Amino acid sequence: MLFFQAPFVISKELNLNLEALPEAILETLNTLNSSQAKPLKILKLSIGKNSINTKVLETVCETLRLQSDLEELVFTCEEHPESSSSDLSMLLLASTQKRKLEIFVKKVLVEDSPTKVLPTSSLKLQELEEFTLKIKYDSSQVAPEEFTCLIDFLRA
Amino acid sequence: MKTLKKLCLEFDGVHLSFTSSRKLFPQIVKLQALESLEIEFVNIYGLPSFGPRAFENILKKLPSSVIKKCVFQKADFRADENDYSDDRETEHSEKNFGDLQEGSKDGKEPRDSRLQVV
Repeated sequence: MLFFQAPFVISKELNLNLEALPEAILETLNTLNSSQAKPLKILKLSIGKNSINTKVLETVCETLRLQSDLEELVFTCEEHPESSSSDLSMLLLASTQKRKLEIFVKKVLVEDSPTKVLPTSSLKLQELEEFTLKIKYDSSQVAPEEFTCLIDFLRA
Repeated sequence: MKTLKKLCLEFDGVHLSFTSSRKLFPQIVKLQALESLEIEFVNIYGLPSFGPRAFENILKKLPSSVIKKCVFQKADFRADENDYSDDRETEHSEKNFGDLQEGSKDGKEPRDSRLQVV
């Protein structure tokens, strides 16, 4: 399980596995959210198979709000049950404007829109220059087609 | 989205039909600042009218330098949607593959060489 201790926060890039021990993640995030922390340029968040711990989710959202210099935001989801859809939406909505956004969903479990991972409400996309969305459906399902969320996203 | 310069989409296992053909791809073409487009669809299926040829016709409205990658892999676009039964895994047959490699129903290669069907 990847996890970087607080000293790593001095780097401009941070990889954070949100399935790590909540106490450990919170320590890193609190350091990052403190006034002494240097601004990040790149933040990579890994979301596992379970919903994110509520306190961790709130703190990550705070981090995304505070990191106004963030240029790149990358989400990697191992599996995407319906419960984590709202988690990802919350994180996307909390983040400040950025230049690059990447979302990787390695396996979608729910029989739902291919782009449900994108929130329907408006995002802060005025400065977005690069967007990557890669989604793999569980092969045992008959996947639907509903790109409405992605279309709205591109229209923003 | 006026600032978007690079768009990379990859979907594995989706059904392409009206929304993608009539809304998603035309919306991509409208991205005014787009400099790089990479699209990859794997294990896709749908009616022939929503297959690679339909997207080719839309995407050719973009400058040729913009499309860096456009790949349809393991595609299955048949005339009868009722054929899409639960045993989709076996439906991705060599025959359907072959049809697409030859350019779908009319037996021609996709007209735009930037579009790759494998």
